[in-house]
Amino acid sequence: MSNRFRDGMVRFSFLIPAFAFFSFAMIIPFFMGIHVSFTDWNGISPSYNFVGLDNFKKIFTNADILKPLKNTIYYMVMSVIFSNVLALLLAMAVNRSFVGRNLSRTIFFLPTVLSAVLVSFIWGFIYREVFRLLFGINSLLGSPDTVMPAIVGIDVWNSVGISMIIFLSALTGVPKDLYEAAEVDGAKAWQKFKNVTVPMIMPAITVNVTLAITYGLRVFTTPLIATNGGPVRASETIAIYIYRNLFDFKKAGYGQAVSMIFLILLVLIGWFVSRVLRSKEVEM
Amino acid sequence: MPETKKKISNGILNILTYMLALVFLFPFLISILMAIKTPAETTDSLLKIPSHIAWGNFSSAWEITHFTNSFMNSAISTVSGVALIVFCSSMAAFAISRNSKKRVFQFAELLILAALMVPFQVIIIPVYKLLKSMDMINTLYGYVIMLVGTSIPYSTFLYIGFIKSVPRELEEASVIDGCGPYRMFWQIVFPLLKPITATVAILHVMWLWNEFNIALIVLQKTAVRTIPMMQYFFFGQYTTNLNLAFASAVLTMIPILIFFVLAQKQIIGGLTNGAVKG
Repeated sequence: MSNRFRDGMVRFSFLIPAFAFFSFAMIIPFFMGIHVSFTDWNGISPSYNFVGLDNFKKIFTNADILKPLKNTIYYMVMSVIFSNVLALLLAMAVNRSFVGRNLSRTIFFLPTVLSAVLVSFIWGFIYREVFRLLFGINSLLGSPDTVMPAIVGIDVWNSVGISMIIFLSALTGVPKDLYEAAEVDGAKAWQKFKNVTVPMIMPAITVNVTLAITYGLRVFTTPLIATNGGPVRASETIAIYIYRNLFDFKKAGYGQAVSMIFLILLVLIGWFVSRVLRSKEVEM
Repeated sequence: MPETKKKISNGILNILTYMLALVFLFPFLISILMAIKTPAETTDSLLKIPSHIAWGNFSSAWEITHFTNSFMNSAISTVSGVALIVFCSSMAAFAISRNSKKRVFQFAELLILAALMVPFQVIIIPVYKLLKSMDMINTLYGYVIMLVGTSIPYSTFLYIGFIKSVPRELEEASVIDGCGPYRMFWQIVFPLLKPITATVAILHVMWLWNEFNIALIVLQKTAVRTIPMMQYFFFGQYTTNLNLAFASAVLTMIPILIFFVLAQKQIIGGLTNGAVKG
């Protein structure tokens, strides 16, 4: 009996290092966060009051959050469309055999290794100086009307390589004889794409669309660095809004309540999207 | 006839691909171009290639940004972070996949999968509160603990997927030979995990090296800034001499690009496997 207890403890001890770090960095903060969201903590002072559901009521009565919500959804929709369409085009382009195939693939993937800080700086310069020189236009990041598309552009350049690689590995797995059979039946290029390629790579589409949606809703780094949410909050996203409530507005309790609602939204949307897409996979 | 038509359309596709590749390469080229010009040449003509390379930009940028300092901070936190991630998550994943019928381990796996859904913004405020109360803001070890703790769900998830396909016979044989559980794991099992360890390590080198969100709240003071933090502050205040800023940008690109060239296959393979399994 004591031997069995000892064996159990040894087995359990394998979890201890990982769960020590994981608890400190995620589990404890998560529960602290639930607590903070019911208080009026300002982010600095050691004391604060319990305010019940006030923060949550404020979220739904305050029009303040509508702008970041709109920006986040806009960003998510645009990046899902553009990064996936471009990634699929790039993957199909480098899935053929031609001179420079490997080099092109490497070049399309190369931007993904750069940090968001570097990428935002370089593109800030390109939008500001190079675009003015080449097209005679003011920086796209400087106007509220163009700042969100401009940020989507930066992020698509920065991360389309990852989706391309995922599509590419799915494309190489499509059996060649399916295309030959379609050709014998007289299928045109578009019909082959619609009736052979898309159904065969549906699992990769699920992965890429789900990733683009969940990461799109979390968007934080690029708009923070490139424009600091500006001009006049035109690129402020939910994640930036939460961050600014802690560091700029001194309303940590309210910011935390927003982030709890944000998490519920993320989980629901992620669950819904992957359910819809997975059901498509089964049909084929 | 259809053969020539196919050739022509293939040729057009090739040209389009090359042009797109050039567009993708353009930001790299413009960074290098800006980094090797003097301010006078830049105001004269933005896109003209200079006759001389202004090597001085690089040494000035190196000094102004305290490059050695931030490079060391990045190196220390990345190397220790990745070592801890591999150490902790390989052990945890082994225990979880070999005890999958026991409640405690099922719950541990559930917690890890649930944590994959939690974005950093949800815990940013409490993390700041927690670290502040323990005097860990502006310390590298506080930063590393956060890096490891937030990376463990994904790395453990990758390990679990791999360990499920590793046969148990060797472990059972070593237990019969009187091998203790820790020695059995590190001497028999861990070497078998080499492919997934390479994937986990290489992906996390890349991610930790570029990490920004945690650094933004933990590392504010100059002495502890990593390369992305140093550049965040440097690009913010130093807009007068763009050439120096680009020299600094190119300097920081070099290590990660070298790493990418060396580990390209592993990075691409790791991303594909991780994503498709998820």
